[in-house]
Amino acid sequence: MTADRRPWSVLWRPSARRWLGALLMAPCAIMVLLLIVYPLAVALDLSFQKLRIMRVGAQRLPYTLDNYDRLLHSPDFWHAAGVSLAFVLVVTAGCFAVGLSAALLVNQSFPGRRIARLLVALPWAVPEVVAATIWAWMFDGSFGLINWLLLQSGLVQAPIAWLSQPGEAFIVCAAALIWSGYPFVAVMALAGLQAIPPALYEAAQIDGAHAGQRFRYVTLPALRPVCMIALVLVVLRVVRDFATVFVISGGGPVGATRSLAIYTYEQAFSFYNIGYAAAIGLVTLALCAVFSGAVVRRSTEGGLA
Amino acid sequence: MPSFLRRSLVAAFLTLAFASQAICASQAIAQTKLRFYSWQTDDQSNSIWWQAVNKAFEEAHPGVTIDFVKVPRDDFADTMMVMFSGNTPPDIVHLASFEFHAFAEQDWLEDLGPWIAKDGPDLKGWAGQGICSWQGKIYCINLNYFGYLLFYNEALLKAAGVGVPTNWEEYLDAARKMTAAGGGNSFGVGLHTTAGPGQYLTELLACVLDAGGYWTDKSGKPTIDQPAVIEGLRRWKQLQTEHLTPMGVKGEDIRQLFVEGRIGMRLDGPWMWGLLAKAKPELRDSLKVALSPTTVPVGGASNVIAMPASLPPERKKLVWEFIKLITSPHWQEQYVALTGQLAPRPGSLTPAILAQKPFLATFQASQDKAAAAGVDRLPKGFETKYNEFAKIVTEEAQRMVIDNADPASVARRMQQRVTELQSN
Repeated sequence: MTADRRPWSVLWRPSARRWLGALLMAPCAIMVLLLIVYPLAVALDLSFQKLRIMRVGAQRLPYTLDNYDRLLHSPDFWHAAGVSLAFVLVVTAGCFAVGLSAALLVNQSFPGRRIARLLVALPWAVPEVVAATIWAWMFDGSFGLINWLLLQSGLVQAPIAWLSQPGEAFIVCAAALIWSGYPFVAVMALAGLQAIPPALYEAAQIDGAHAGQRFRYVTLPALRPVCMIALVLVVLRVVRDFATVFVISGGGPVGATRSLAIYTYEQAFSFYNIGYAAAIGLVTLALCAVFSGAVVRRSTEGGLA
Repeated sequence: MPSFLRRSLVAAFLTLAFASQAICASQAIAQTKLRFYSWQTDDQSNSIWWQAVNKAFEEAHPGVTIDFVKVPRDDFADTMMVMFSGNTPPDIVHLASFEFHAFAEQDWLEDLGPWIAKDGPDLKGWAGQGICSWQGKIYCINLNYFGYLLFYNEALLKAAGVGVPTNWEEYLDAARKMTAAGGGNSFGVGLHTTAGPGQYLTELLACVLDAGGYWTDKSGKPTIDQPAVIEGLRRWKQLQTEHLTPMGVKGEDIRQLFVEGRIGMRLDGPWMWGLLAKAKPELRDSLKVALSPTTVPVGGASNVIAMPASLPPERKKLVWEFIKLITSPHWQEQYVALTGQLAPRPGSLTPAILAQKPFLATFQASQDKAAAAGVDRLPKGFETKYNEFAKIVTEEAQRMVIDNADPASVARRMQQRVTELQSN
């Protein structure tokens, strides 16, 4: 047998398999390093400097924990964290309630089901800023469509200042986030529903389970793995959302909708506290990583992986 | 090789090299492009002047072109900050007057003092130029100083049975009557009451100034807890709690509502004049301008021109030539003629222009009144923390309206927060 003399043929030998694997993974690893690890390293570096404005080539300032100390003692940071948490709870619950309901609906057989499925997914296709602008117009306190409808129908006697009152502004932002976020849950849940073997429902029916029990003991457990993944992605989306809330309310009034994402932006680009903004960003990232890790671990324990 | 032949070859090579260098150099000049980013590239008034002055500069400097690029106002400071941070600033720096200090603080802007001393414009009496002097240096040249004016809808005033207001009491009375007559379709006044702390602060300042107050004293110490400021806050609150203005609407949308005939009165800068041309023909004649009914109009420098400190010397010379051109008497007069706004150079409003644009007499009177009172939107002592200052005052004022809080206690809290901000 003639030995292959091409120089790279050595990589095909079983003994060099791990090198081949590393070589094939290299482009992807380099991309990850460039796009994720490097910016993260820069942010980490900045977060330990009391830096107002970043400048390429400028001398590094002495490392300090001041930014983290300020963050921990800042009522504004904790307020923003509270707003983010409130958005996560309300929007996630809303997305799952609407998304699951929509998925269950379009999973049924009825005329026009294909069009209904398209309609369910439609908000997903609308660009965030466009959607947010439309929501802001609809909920304009003086000339908006919603107030007009409410006044015409006699449900209210005076226009509601949707974006000038803290509670109302929060509701509008949360509703916009639910509207743009539920299609993802619906699509994921629909895929999960279609993967459930009909035999399970038939068996349950034979055992005398009514519709509610079939949903509780067949549908929900079968959807659990899909829902856990969707939960992580929805929560991360809500935490990092900037455009929707910023366009609708700008984080106001009186900070009622100032989430961590908006607070970070404000510190970085309005107040030019780059070091402090980097610290906020990293703490937000850490919180998200802890949450995602916990959910993924729980999913794994539940037999997802 | 004979020595004469070798010398000839060397001489020929050197000649060729010098010639190619010269060609390259001339090509470099021919290809010089000055990057100029602005938010005024396509508005109704300033852009006309900028286009004309850019063209004149290019004609006077063959081979040099100006790359005049639009950056939306909302993103402008961020974009500039990123460009400067990345060591790629534009050649011609255009900034709002309240944001250049952050750039000057980083030593990003050239001290124009020596350039002005050498062959610069005479800045004596130059409106609003004081804002450009900071920490003993001149970082910019002011391009516009304004006094707020009262834009009003004459038809709505007549329908409500009131005249053009000349003081606070008349203004409030007219606002109430016009709102009542509007029946929900139109409002007496239009205020910016939502996100955008800078605009919010400026509009609130109208009430504070009329009551005789200001944010800081001449030394830069906060004076928000003084009775006059408290009275100003009370008036601001009154306009909103009596629902005399649409709530939660941005200034730019308020301007549009005014042009559509749904706002009776609007206190705003002279740039609003250009927008009136957008009104429907049947409405246009009703939209008029008068002096602000406040005792002192809100005033201030609007935008400034500057030069990056990091530019190479030959580019600095070109940028300085550009600055000299736009501040020359001819182009300052053209600014007035083309934009319908006042130029900062004294004497730019000529009798000929005034005859064509009589409304400029009102603009001039307002500007003079604001300048005489030494008013500026940017409070002394908070030059580099203006955005944070504006955010604090805006949030507390919003809270006052939402919670129906006592203006005196709100003022005390504002005073405490801005004092902390200043000491940090």
